[in-house]
Amino acid sequence: MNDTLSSSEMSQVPLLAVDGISGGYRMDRPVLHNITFRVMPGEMVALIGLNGAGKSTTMKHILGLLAPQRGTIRIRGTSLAENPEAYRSSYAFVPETPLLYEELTVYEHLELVARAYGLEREAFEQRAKRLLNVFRMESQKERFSAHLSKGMKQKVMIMSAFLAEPSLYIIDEPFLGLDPLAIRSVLELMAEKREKGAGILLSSHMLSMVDRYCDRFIILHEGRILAAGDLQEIARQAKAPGATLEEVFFRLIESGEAK
Amino acid sequence: MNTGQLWRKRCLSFWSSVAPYIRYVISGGLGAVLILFLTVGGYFYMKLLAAVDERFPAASVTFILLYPLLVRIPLRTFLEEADILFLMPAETQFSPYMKRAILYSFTVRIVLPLLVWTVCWPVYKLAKDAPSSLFFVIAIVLLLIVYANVNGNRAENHFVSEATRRLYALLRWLVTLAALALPLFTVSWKALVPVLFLVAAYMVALRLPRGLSVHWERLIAEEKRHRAHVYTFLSGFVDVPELPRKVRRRRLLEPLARLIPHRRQSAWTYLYLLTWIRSETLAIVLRLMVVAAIVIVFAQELWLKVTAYWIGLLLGGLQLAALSRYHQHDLWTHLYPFPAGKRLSSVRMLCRNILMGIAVLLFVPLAIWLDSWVEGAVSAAGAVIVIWLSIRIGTAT
Repeated sequence: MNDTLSSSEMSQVPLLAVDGISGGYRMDRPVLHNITFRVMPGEMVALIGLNGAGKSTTMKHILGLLAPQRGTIRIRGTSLAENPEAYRSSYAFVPETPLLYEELTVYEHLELVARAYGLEREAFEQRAKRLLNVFRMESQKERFSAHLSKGMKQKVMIMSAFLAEPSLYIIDEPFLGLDPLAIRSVLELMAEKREKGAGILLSSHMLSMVDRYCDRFIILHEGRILAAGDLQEIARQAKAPGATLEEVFFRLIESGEAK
Repeated sequence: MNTGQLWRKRCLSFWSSVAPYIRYVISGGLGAVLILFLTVGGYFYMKLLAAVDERFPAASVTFILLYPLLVRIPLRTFLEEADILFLMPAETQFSPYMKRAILYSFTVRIVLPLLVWTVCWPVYKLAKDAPSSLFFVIAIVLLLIVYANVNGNRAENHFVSEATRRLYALLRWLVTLAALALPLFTVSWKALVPVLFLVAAYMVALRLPRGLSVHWERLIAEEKRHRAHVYTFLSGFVDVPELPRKVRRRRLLEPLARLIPHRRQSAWTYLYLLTWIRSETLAIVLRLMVVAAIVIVFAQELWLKVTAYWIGLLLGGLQLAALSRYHQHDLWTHLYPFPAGKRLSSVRMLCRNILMGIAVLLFVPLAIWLDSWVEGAVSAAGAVIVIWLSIRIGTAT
């Protein structure tokens, strides 16, 4: 895991390269159609779309939980098939619904993640302490996951992801169930990691939040990319220069439906 | 809404989910074990019958065999988590549902006590010189006790206050104790009279505290636990994917996890050690080891002690190896970079180390009886082979 990359690397190798992905759960009915995008170091990219647009499916393909029917996915130049361990060590994922072990306490989850990423004990303890503090979870660290509220479970998933400090973060709907303080903490952490050269792929319905924090936007509709780029670029594509992300989004979806 | 019908549907769907496994249970060795058990048990039972006289503590033995069966009677409601959302609006119509649940639990749970009583009866009759009518008297007492316990359980599940619930559980245990002990120890049908009064008074007492009409959360938790018991039993014979797990903290053992070195290669070991510490498997293995230790200490002949040592380790190993079925398809281990392909070898190594520790502990009582170092070496070598084999067989995929 590198949290800092050399400047030449930063400018050249995309952290995540998704090229012409088509795929889904069934061969005869692909959910995604020819999806292509990049996440560069130091970049925060938002996947935006209605329910069922293909955001989570795209993420599942990146995680290797689904195999694409066509196209390739590379993280820092490596595909999952070429080097599974390097591939998996390069990112951290926060799923939409928290998944935790019944047998483990909050702290043990963090420790397990630290081991999986090969994090040194001291670094782990330091980072864990800070994250527990940031998310106000110190008093909960000895509890079993079954006794946590939905928001707290989500916090465990988020802490696990940030503990590893990988170069790529894939975050699916991180704000659901979080309290306002925790939402701000997540955003600040993401901003901090971006400063250090990490890339973040984020899906969310909270457009105002995404608008403020993300560098680029990918608007998905029915498994296709309707528009991609920074706000100016997608506003131009939506023929609504100067509009907010929300307006641009509605416009694009409407025109997408019209087709 | 016809909640009685709903209960029947739920019950049926539970049993049809279990039915496919029954075949595996029987072919998986339960049949053979049962036959073996019946043959050996029958042999000793005959010997006991021939030797029994009035000095034999028949009442105490019968009591000890029956009591645990009577106080632990779960109420099967077949409720599911989603019911809080979807069935709660129909809460006022729930009494047919609960009536069926009570009737079902009563019918299922009366079988074993009656069976045990039937087996105990010949010995009891001989030792106590009891009249034949007493068999039926005590059978009736058993029916009453099971009925009271099912209803008591239902009531306890509905009390809001935890203190009341505990108090009533204690009351139930005491009432059961008295109602069972009275006829058994007095050897008289007249005991039926106070038992009737006791049970009636208890049934009245159940109505005193205020409770919720349906305590959804507790009933659902209870149902989950019973389901887990059934599936745990089945999982002893076949892989049961829907197995919900019971987790206990066991703080005292937590320091064991500190022994696992903090490095990437031991991520699996760390996960599995904690899983073992908190799972039912630990309790099962410990119980087996206690039984083995008792046989080792009390058996008369050395060969019996050594055999018990080996068999204890063999069964313990097979149980431990069940750990390998945990976390096989967990999403976590795909999301995080766990050392690829190391899962099975990590579990095996962990299981062998645990079993080796147990083997060393069990060797202590055995060693006292060993006369020569040759006997010690043979026992130890056998143990090592058994450890290796049992884990290998138990984790075979």
